[in-house]
Amino acid sequence: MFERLNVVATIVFVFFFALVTVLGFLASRWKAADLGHINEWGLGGRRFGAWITWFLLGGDLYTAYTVIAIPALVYGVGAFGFFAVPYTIIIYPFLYLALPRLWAVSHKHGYMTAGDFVLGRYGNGWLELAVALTGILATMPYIALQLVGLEKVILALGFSGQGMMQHAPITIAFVVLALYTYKSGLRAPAMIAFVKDAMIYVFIIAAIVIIPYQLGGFGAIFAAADKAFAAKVAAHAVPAAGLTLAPAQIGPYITLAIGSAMALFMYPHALTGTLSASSGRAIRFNTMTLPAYSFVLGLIALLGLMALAAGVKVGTPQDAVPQLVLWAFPDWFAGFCFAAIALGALVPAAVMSIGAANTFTRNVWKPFIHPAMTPREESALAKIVSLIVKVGALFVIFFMPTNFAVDLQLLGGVWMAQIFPAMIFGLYTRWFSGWALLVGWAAGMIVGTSLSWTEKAWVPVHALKWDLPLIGHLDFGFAAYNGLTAVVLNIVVATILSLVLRSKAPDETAPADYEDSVAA
Amino acid sequence: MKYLLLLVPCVIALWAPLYNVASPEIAGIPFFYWFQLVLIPISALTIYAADRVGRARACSSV
Repeated sequence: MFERLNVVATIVFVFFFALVTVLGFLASRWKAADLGHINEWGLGGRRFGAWITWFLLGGDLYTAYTVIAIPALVYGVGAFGFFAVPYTIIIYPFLYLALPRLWAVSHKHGYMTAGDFVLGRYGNGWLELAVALTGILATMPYIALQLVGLEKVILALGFSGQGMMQHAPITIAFVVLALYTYKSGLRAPAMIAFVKDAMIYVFIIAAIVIIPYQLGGFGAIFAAADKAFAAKVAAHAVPAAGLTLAPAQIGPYITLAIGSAMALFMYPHALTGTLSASSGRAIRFNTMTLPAYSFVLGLIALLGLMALAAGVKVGTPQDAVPQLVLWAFPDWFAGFCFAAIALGALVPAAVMSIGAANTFTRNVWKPFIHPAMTPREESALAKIVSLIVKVGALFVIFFMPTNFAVDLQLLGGVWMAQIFPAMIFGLYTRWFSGWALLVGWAAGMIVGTSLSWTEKAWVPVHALKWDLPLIGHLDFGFAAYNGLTAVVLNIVVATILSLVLRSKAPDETAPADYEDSVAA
Repeated sequence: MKYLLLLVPCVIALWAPLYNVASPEIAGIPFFYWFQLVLIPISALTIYAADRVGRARACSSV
């Protein structure tokens, strides 16, 4: 199992892994406080300033899976994979407006999760449960996919185990991660994120300078990629691929960007990273500076084209980046790059497990099983749940085909977008009623999921063309991302029902609670 | 003004037919790619500008 091991790369890789393990355990003493309190363990005491939040959110949102999957998509079909760029452009102006309001109301009322806010705003425990379960359901496969990213780079190091031994390295990595997350809470990924993000920046800057030099410049890269796509289309390997979008890809490109942007900050791990900030000012600062990561993501996407131009041989498109790194760099730097990607899996996996654990504890267990929980009991339970979530992710990787996790993650985006109306409209108005939003959510979940199912595979987009009872034949003439189609239906249902069912449930928030002091 | 500054980069980013062309190239990079990459820092700057406008308004109204 070690015959083909790249020794130099592995030594560098293990060195960085050991370094962040030490940091992860030391993190429990950083900004020292009582980690027996859930606000400290699960949100770092809401004391992370602008810069810490920048590293944490950057490390949390731009994950190892992203570093593997986006270039893999570009490698496979070209321009379409670039949807990640408009997606991450449109998200920050929107977050600039919405997130400081969410932070302000959460700070005032001690909300830690999306479910907490929804309960306070609409006074509806079932809507709270729906929001919480959606978050947990979408997060589990996402954590599992971080493991896929980790496993890809470990395979590229030349480790080749058989059967269960194949998974030994990621099991060790995840057990270590689980232990320091258990001990240090959100402080651990926040501290590791500094190392991870710095390494990713070094990796990408080196890649974007050195690889085009080796391949004869960007002109040669794009020309070679163009040829490769033409060959794929001629061989009917893919329906459409190229350096620009085919006409049929434009609708999906735009709607995927909008729908993904609506979903991203509904995920528990994104809200955990946001609410741990120390002020609305820190969040606004981040909406202006996080695009730096988007720029890096755009450059990472180009690695897919470079892998085509370099002609690296891959089993699946997800091997494109690891194989390109091996092709382009000396062993020691390949080890460094792989360590950067691996840490890129650990930071989000830790924050995701904390976000899911906070959500389960506060919005499932506490209201429905044990209402009289103290913050100390909440913290104890959340720590255990964070372990269970990680073990669950390991089992997904052990016993399910990888494609199943990929499909679930794809559906996860469709599902997360369905809590957008309850969350974001709720930041501005209490016009919608909780029950109407719950029915809208259910409609969106069912329609979004069923649109995604086809006999061959789960697919993210569906033609906007139906024969409906009463309405008749409906054809918008383009295909759209199912998450967006479903959330539009969700909003229509919630609006109509809110007109009919006026809400009399209590609202514990006041308009002033949302005010973000811009002048501060 | 603040909302216009926030809106414009979003509209451009989503207007895919606008930039779905290969030329003009810069250093061998087709328009589709470099235009979107350049739009990222521009969008960050417009958020910064919107923030300045918003804060100036908030201060002057006090």
